Amino acid sequence: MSTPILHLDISRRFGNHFLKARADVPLTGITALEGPSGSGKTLLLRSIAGLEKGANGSILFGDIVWQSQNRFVAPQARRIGYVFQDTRLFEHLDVAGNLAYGHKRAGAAPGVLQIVSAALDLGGLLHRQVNALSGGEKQRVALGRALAMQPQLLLLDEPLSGLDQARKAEILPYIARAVQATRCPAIYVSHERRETAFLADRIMKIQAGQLSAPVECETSLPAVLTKVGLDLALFVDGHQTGLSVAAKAGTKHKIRINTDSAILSRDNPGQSSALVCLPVEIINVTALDAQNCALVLGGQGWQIRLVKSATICAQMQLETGQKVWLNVTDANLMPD
Amino acid sequence: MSVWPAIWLSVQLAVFSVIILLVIATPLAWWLTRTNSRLRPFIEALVALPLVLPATVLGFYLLVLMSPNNPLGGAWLRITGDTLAFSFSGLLLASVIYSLPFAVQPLQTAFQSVGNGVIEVATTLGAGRWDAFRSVVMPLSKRGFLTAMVLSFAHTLGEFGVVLMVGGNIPGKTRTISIEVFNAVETLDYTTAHRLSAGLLVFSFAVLVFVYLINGQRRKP
Repeated sequence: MSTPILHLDISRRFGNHFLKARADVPLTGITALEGPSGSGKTLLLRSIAGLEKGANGSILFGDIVWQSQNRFVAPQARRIGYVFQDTRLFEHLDVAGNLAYGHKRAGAAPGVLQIVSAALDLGGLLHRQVNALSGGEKQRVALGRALAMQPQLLLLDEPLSGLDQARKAEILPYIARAVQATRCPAIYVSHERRETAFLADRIMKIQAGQLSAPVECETSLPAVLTKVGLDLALFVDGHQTGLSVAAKAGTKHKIRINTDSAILSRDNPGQSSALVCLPVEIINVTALDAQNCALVLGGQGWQIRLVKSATICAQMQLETGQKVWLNVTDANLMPD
Repeated sequence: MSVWPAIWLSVQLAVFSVIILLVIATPLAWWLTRTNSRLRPFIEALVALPLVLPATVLGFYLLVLMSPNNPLGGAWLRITGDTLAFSFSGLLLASVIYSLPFAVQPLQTAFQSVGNGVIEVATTLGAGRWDAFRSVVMPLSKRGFLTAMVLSFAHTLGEFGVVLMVGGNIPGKTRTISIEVFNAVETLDYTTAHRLSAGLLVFSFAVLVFVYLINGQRRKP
């Protein structure tokens, strides 16, 4: 079964700006939406949710038309979980009441409440009043409220922007875990590289009023085909790989690596059987749970995300900012 | 002289006015909060007119409107066989119009402070328009509803000018507390005047304290 796709083909003028969004977004995992503030990220998200009627064009969720020239599905019929920047919790209800609001109306499966409240650690908050929650707790409840309705798509509009760095680092794993546990595809808007690098399976950007196609980000390295003597080899960040392709020298390619085959070493391993071996910088290390750690590694203009054993991360004392060597034994070429 | 018929009549008038006002003012205040229509300032001005017009002017126009020679008064006479002016129904109509701003304005303020944000959330969570209004806007506007009810009740109870113009001074039918006070003073029955006036004064003061109390709570975090 192929992954369903969110087809976007809309345009919208706002103020002096213009937003043109034409992309097919795979409905799996987390898609980050990046762009400078004022570029229309929120506008795009609101249009997808049906909260904004002003956009021209069409939006298809799989085979279902959400918006076209002669059709506009109301937001309450789209079954979208929307997490707003300013939590917007219902102050007249307690935490349990907030979680139940969409859950009840969507007729979601009873087990979902348990899954969501376990993934977001909401059990102890259920009977608290919303006004008595801290900023981080509020955001977790807002996320839980959206996920409790078993949405077809989760839209997150800079949900961490109101929190300090420590709080952000605390909430990020919750988001990753909750999305994983509910298997709900998500679009995550942020202009913080650290957040998107940590969460995103793919990234799309709005630049100069134009939405770029989503790029799978966790497993692809940008490579350039370069002449080595009489042969051609693909180079990543100036380091030769064991891969080549029949094409003209200087053409760009993508190497998709199997992250399970990726090995990190503190020092240059020298000659090895690895297909790819190059120095990278650790951009972020975050514990996902007791067993696993998520690592964001960065090279020259690219980032990948690996999940490694927490024990190994601790043994190697991996920290943000360190330089390590990335060795990959299994990789494929992708069209750029 | 018994003051109870006047008190009973006043309370009846106030209760029915509040019920009718809630039915009219809720959708009107909601529309005023949400609309982008150019008509809005005109409707708002119309609603607020009773605040600034002398009761005699308002009463005069209402009286003209209720006259059997006019469409409204004429239709009423044909349907009920009674004139609208100088009747309890006429008094009720007048007091609804007269107290309308006291119901609409607190509701409008409350709806505005609820804002569009939570309504959008409710919508994305699967609530239709009426559902979102009932389950989110109304509970969050609870204080606005209380204020509107209490203020319009008290205001109807205390109205004099319009009642005199439209209702006249018919015992048990249109003679409310405020008219009774007027009669008592005219006939130098100061005991009755004192009792009714003091009662109304204490009640009105209590109502206002209550309104300021519930609205003061909002400022707490």
